[in-house]
Amino acid sequence: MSLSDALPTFLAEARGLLEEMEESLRILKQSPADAEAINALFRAAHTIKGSAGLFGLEVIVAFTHHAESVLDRVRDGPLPMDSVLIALFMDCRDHIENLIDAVERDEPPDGATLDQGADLVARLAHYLGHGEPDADPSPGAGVAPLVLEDPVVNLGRNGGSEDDVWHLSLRFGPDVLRNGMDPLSFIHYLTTMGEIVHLFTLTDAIPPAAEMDPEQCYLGFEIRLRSGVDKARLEGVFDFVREDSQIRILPPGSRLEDFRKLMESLPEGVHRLGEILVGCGAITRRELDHVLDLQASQSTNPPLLGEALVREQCIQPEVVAVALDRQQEVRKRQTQDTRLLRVRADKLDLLIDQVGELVIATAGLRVQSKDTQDSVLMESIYEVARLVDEIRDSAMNLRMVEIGETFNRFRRVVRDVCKESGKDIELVIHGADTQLDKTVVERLSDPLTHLIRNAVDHGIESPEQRRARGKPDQGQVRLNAFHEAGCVLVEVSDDGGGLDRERILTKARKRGLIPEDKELDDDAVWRLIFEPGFSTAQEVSNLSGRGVGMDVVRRDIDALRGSVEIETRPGEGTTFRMRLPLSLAIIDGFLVRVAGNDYVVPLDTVLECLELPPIAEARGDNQLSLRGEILPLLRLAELFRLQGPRGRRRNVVVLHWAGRKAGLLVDELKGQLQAVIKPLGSLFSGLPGVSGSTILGSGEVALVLDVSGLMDLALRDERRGRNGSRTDDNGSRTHGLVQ
Amino acid sequence: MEMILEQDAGHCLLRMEGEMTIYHAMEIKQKFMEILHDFEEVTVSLAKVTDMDTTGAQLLILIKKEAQATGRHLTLSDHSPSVLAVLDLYNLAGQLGDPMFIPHGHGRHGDRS
Repeated sequence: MSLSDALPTFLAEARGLLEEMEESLRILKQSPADAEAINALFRAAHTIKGSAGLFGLEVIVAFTHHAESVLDRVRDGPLPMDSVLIALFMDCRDHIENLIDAVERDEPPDGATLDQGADLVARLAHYLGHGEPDADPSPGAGVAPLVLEDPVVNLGRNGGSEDDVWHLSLRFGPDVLRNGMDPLSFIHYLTTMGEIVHLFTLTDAIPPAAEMDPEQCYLGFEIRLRSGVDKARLEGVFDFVREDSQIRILPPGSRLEDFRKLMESLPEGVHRLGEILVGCGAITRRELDHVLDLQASQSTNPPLLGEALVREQCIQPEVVAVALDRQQEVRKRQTQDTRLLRVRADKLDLLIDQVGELVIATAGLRVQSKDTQDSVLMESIYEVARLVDEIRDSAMNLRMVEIGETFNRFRRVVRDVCKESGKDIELVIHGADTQLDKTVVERLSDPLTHLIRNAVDHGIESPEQRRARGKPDQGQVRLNAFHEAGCVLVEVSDDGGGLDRERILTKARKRGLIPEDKELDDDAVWRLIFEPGFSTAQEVSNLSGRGVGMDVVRRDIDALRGSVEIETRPGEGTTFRMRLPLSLAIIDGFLVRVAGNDYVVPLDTVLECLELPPIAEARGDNQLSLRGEILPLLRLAELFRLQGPRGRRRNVVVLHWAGRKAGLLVDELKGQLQAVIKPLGSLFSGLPGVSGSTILGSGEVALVLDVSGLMDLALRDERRGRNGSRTDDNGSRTHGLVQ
Repeated sequence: MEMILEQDAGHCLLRMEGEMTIYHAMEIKQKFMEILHDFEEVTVSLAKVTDMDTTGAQLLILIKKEAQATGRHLTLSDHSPSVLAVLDLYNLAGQLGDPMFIPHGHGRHGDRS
């Protein structure tokens, strides 16, 4: 059996635990006294240490041990959790991560990492006093043992296992006294955790006087402790002496077999120890006899593998138990949710591709079956089509992931940036369980990083400025995700100073992005920051403000067929709102026909369809009155300069996107379809108003309309119309629009 | 740590005063061995022991074992509260035998020589 086979599991598990630590620390930041979070933090550190021990990762064990000891003091009360400690634990967490990274790379930690570790240990030691963390804070004999159970329960009970009574077998290492750790302190500490029912001090190891070193520890103890604490906590008491001492802890209800193993593993031997255990009431005389008999008959059996492992590697059995418990817990959680299966992404992509082809093929089949007039065949084909629909949905679902994981990554970004800029900023996350396509999530990571850095670096003011403005010192950056009308909205907002209109305008003029005398409305001003090479930061910092970033954000979002909006109020903050499609591969579309060409509109942007009154058509209106609401009307044929024969009637598809509405004037409405989106070649990638193409059931190609782009065109037309004589780059196409 | 020796023929009384801790463990052991060598009958008074740690307790056990092994007669007497606290916590009274509760002799579990 090789432990190294299990190493990847350990690494994965450790990373999971590190995430938990981060999460707990985040909770503690908000409410430092949260006992649950402190416990979780402790457990995570403890489990990492325990499993690292299994793999002989001494550096991790040693370091985590220090952190755990301080945590233990926090957990038990003497040390209050505060922001300094939280920051320290955050650093510790990072350090553990570095160590684990090193393990994964199969190299020893580098010098810088070790230095960092030493530094952290020194900082931790500060909280441990003079290396005697387990010493009772109030020395002396006056501390009454804490009796957790009614002693009466124990009356008349002799031997066997009792509820809540632990058996501790302690053989302290020879150097503990010289290291300033007195077994007295440990036993004293135990009395604060429960009631010592019986204690036997083994003095057998004291050598004859001539050889006896008075500064060396020779004592061993067999202790019966009645206590309601958990295994880990009891284990934790001995963390500081575990390395060179033999600490065995048998939980309440341990079987005779456990005691037998205990007796066999200790130097005093079964006979001597057996007598002591009988004296302690740990086992009965009869049980001891049984063990002795058993031993006589089985003495030739080799020890169990696990036992041997424990012995050879000096692993505490309890540590193994904790590690196993942890594994079980993880396993349980997995079965509770759903069993997870890791699949290579390219296999999934292939499946989606094939489903896409299947959708197209089915559409073709459907068209052809219509011509045969064979109702039985058509019925079967409809059934197949329905199943294909379902398969498509399931396949698309496979690619959906929660955005939370990506979001959580930004906690680190915010923390790092805070450290660098000296600001105190909290990252608030909402809608972490919002699902969207894996590719979208992945490609969202970069623009989000830019936006968050920007918010932290430029958005949120310095603490002094904030105070002057009457805001709390701590700034807030919010990450929010939610579904709306078939797309996903991801928002990054801050409660900072808002965008500075004047500064943006000045800068834009200086860079020649807009003419000197041109006036712009707010929206247009905000959009300037997405122009390449634009930065409003007064000073260039390490993080952002080098003039790259926002244009990249815009480009990335465009590439995702999404859009960005900016909402800002001076002195109150800024929100960047990204609207993203749920998926990139297959959409439900609405097929329309204009001048002999087919176009697909994403169905979720379609509000309704109506026939354009002939009178409006005759007037050539560029607006539409929909139940009293005035909407811009986009004439697709004119927009795309289509020359083909027009149909007799005109229909309007009312679209909505990003809170705006517009009418799209087409000839014919052909109904819903599933469109497998194929990207256009790079030659056409810049085409306004078109985002891709799809193949229809008939085998013909239809273009997929980019509603966001169309809306922009509509809005521009509308403004242009409203502003009358003003001309701009496309000035030739101004239409009078009566408002 | 002060160790004051009062003696008359074959018998001595050693008064321990101060801390019986690791800082003095060497000298205490030295002294204990000396008197065990020099006298048939030894009484160690612990009345003025202000502090005791595990080394102190170990030395008491050592001297007790050594006395048995060499056939000397050793009595530990007048345990101060700090001594009692340690012996109590370690449940050593029985093994040491001396404290008022049990007269001279071996503890219940007996010491192994």
